[in-house]
Amino acid sequence: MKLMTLMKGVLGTSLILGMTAPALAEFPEKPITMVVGFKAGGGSDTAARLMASELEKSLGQKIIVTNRGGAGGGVAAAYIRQQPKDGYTIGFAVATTFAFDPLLGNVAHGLNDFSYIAAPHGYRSVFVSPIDAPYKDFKGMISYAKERGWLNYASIIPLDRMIMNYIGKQEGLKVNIVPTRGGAGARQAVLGGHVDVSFSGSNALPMHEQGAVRIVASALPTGMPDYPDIPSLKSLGYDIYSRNYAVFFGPKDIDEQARKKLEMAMARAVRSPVYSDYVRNKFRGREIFLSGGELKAELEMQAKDFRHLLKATEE
Amino acid sequence: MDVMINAILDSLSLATLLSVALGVVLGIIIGAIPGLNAPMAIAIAIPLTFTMSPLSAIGMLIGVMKGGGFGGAVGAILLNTPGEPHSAATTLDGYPLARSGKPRKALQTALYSSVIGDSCSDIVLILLAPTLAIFALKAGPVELAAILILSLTLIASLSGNSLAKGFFATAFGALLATVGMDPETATPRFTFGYVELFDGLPLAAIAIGVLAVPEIIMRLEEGRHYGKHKPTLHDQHKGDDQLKTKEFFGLRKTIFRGAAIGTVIGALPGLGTTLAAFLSYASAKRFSKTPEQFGKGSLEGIASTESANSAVSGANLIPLLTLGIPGNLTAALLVGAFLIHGVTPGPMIFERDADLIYGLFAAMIMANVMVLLIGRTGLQFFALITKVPPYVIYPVVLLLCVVGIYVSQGGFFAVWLMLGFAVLGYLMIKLDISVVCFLIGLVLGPMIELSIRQSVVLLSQSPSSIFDYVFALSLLCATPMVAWILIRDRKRAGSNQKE
Repeated sequence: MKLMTLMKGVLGTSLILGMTAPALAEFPEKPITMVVGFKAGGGSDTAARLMASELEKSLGQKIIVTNRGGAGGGVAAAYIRQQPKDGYTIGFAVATTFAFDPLLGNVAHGLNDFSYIAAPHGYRSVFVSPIDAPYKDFKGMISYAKERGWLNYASIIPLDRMIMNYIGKQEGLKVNIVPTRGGAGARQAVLGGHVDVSFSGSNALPMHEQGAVRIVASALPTGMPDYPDIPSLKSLGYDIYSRNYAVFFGPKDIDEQARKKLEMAMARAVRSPVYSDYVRNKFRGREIFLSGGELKAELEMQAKDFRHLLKATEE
Repeated sequence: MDVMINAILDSLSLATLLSVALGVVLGIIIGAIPGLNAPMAIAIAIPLTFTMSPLSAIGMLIGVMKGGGFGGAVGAILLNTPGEPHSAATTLDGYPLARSGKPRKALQTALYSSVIGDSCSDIVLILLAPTLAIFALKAGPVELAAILILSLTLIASLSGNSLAKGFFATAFGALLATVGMDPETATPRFTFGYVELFDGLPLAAIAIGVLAVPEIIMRLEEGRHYGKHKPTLHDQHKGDDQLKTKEFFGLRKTIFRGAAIGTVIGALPGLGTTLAAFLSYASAKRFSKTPEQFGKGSLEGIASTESANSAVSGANLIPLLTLGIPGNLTAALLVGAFLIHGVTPGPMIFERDADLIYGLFAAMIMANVMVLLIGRTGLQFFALITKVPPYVIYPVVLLLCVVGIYVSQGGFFAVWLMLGFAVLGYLMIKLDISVVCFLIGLVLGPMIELSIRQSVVLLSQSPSSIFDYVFALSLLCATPMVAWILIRDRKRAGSNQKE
């Protein structure tokens, strides 16, 4: 009799929880918290939320998305570092949060303080000039600026400022760094013709196609295959690049079974129509997937390159 | 023309109407909750729109934006809890009026001014967006710096009884605004190792901290002395709690002035709602026949801020739609939402997404009508809050402030900051130092810093090119004259009082 009640209880509970899994506990058996390192509503936040809804479908558990924006993903990184390593709390930030920001010495975290789950997509950073500028390409801009004596550059983050300083150094050109708050401020400066060139995310691509601005260079080392006319910094003769990724991560030494399961679910999710359509057509990002191992190697390589760059611009 | 008519007919479908209405209701409720605000409401609503058609989705978000604007005024007027820094301007007269037993009148003034301000700027957006956008682009860092300096001079007239104390409060706010990353070198300033402070102090947490929490504490202090008579939150009904047509008609100049200020400021990305609200408030006070009523429950005070900050929300869409530049946080969230639904803001939007844009315009007008209708019904209920005894309502409000700030501003860190700033606000009120000036310094400080530093960088190579900036220079020349007029006014007011 007692056994019957117990069995009923177990059966009932598993039905209520909607568990189809066998009796053996398998990750995930409770909701997962996803901490997004950006303010709610932006392009990256949206990608994270779409990912969360895809993961819910394949993992069969609720994903609770919370935002801890600030310091370019640094606030979320600092938070995740202190969380349990069971895989039920994961973070979302970008590659520069781990490969570049620690080099500046302002944040307490380092690249090795985390486990990396996967990179679900990449970013496409570009350099944008006003459409009515007296030059039509990057080389033309440099010689125009040299003639005048300086280049006015709208910067968004420390990395892009360092890239432009590096180029200025190589060209023997004075670069005036005009600070802006976020991509919107930089966009405004370019559209109004207040600067010669600015850094921008992939949202400049549609404006380039519409003829509102001109993209003069891509920061990706190999350029953008679908825009063969836009040169990369590398092809322009500058040994420098930015190849940023969206990064899902957890605290150091996260439970490997859970990490693997999340990685596999994410690999499936990026192929889903909703996610790939968003990255390709709406966000205009780079459709690429890196596993945790590949991501870690990429971050280490970038950190090494950025360290060189830092040295080169300081000298 | 066909596209336009079809789009407008489309937008009149039941689905769109319902989603706009839902958005307005959601916006009013979330906006009215202490600690939450319109950007928060939009962030909450965006995932809800993932599965909707683009027009319904954007209509709903527009509804949330407009509803959230009025909701913010409800919180500011009834509870002195500004959800966003610009609502602090509405608390100046809204809260005193509500406390004097006229909550309905205060809410009605806010609602009607808000809807009129909003509609005016929407009409400007619909008729003139591309032209205005090109004009707005011409305003670069140098022009923005000049506008900000002139505006701050006008706003200085709000500094209360003592100019020195007002100046001190503003400077203190501006000093605290330097917390966070230096915009030029990205070196953390005054962050004491807290990554949470890298992007600056969370404004909503501080606005609630210095304005609302000390008020709650002081009301509860009073509560200890109530004795026998049964206390209510505000004074008992004295009649006269309805806005009369004649009174409202008297506000027309103030409302349209506010709408004009809000529209211009909103069309210039990077200036923002707080500037518009306080600028409108300061000029309403300057031109008022009864400036001494300001701060004590003046209808003009409420009308000036609400018409201006609502006008900003419509005008903010001008740079957003035509250039893809969001003018404030709310607009930035809308860009994200547009992207999800496959709409790329930019110069071609009127050709490529014409049907959607005209649908959006129709949805905006629709949302204004709904804010009016839903707001009118809602304010009858909201006003009932004032009947709840203070020992019930204030602890609840305090709890909501804590929860709201926890949710919207990033955890306990922001809650502790809010409580810390509550102590500061309490001390400032006791010392008669203007909390509002402090907030203005805090909000405008970073804008002034950034635009001046940008200007310096841009002019550093050829300082003489400053003479190319005719508009900026004329504003800068006007600044001392405005200051002189304001000081003269102040002296006159002072000698009148003595007589």
